[in-house]
Amino acid sequence: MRTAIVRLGVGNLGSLTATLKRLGHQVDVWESDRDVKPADWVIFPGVGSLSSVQQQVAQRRFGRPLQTIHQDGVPALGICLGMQLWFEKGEEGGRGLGWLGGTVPRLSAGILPHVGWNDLEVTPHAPDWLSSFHKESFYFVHSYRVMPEDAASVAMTTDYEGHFPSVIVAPHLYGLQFHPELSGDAGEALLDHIFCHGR
Amino acid sequence: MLTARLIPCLDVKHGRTVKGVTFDHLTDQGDPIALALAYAADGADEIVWLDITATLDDVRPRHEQIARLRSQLRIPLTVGGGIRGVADVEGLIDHGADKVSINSAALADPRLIEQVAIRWGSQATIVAVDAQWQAGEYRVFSHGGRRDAGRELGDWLREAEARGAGEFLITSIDQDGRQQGYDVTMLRYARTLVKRPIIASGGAGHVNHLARLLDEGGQYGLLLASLLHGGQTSVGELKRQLHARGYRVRVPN
Repeated sequence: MRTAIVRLGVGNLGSLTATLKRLGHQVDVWESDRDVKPADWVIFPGVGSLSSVQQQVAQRRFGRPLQTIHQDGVPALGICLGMQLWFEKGEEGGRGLGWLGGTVPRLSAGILPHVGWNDLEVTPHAPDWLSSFHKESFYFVHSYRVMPEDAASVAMTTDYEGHFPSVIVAPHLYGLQFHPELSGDAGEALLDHIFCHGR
Repeated sequence: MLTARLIPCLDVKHGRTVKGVTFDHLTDQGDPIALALAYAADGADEIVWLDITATLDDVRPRHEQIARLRSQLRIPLTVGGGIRGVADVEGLIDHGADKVSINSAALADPRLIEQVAIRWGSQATIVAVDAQWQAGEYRVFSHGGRRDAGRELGDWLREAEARGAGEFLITSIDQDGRQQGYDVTMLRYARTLVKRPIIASGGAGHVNHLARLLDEGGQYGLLLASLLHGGQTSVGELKRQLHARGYRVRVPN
């Protein structure tokens, strides 16, 4: 499988590339629009803030090619901020790509960021192949959450002083609020399932 | 629900772990990469790699070690020790650290916290603080706990939070290495002052000490050092015991 990672910031991609390679993927990292080429999957990683990532999209001239990829229905995986980028806008004014209706407000909790291993709960909208990850723990680190307009896109939720969407499944877009590449065996198994079933 | 984080700390000196550890299946117990992977396999939630005497000569070999660990480690990795400025942070993150822990350099120039947080995000910016009760207050110490930094703990935590610290790693100099329990009073004081996650360090010697701190609430991460190094117990064993007592932990299969 040919998988592309869209460079959206300055964080290290080491654990993500290592995980994908273990899963047998051929991995390309796209540094700018010039690197964009056909891929089976496109991965949107990301840490930082929505506005900083949107700046990266502009600087690296990703706007148009990513739009084309989205319109062509290429399967995409968004991790944390990479998923948040697909929504319309953040609470602090940063704009997203607007592929999914909804916003990205701050979590309402006493201690932020939400850091650590927390579990997933399936919703009635979850595809069957996600059910084996019900109550499984994954590593989270974030202060913002997505608030999708389409409730049916929320496949799994997580509780941190209230429930928020932790897995989004919208046709060909798979969004994870946590970091599967830092979530041990569970993270690797989930990625394998997504690449296998989510097409 | 969020589970309690158990975080083994590797004390590394010139590329070797320096405190004794007992993992029967490790042929080289001084190799920090093998040790980190063994902790991860045993159920560690994160790894903290603390270089206790990072000098300029150590930089390149350390980067190589971290890159090698990163290609195999599948849980978060924090690296600290010897960070003097943004260039050091860049080197560590580029080679695979998910977060960096800054201590003396932040005390010397607190703007470093902002520089790191703006560039890599608050989530990558851990401010480590060593503190000790002295003359009626908690004083902050730099340089491995040897030098009074001229700061009171609460003042420094609040300033570091305002400048963008995403987590705190707070070590009690009084309790460190004594295995008599975490400094609950100091941690409780810190907890009331800042809204960032706190990793408690110094004093863990028994599963009761972990339970005692978890009873406080406050979502403390639990740093484990000498308790594991001495081979008295393991991450997996501590987690099974905590789980049996009803604490929420991620129990390895």
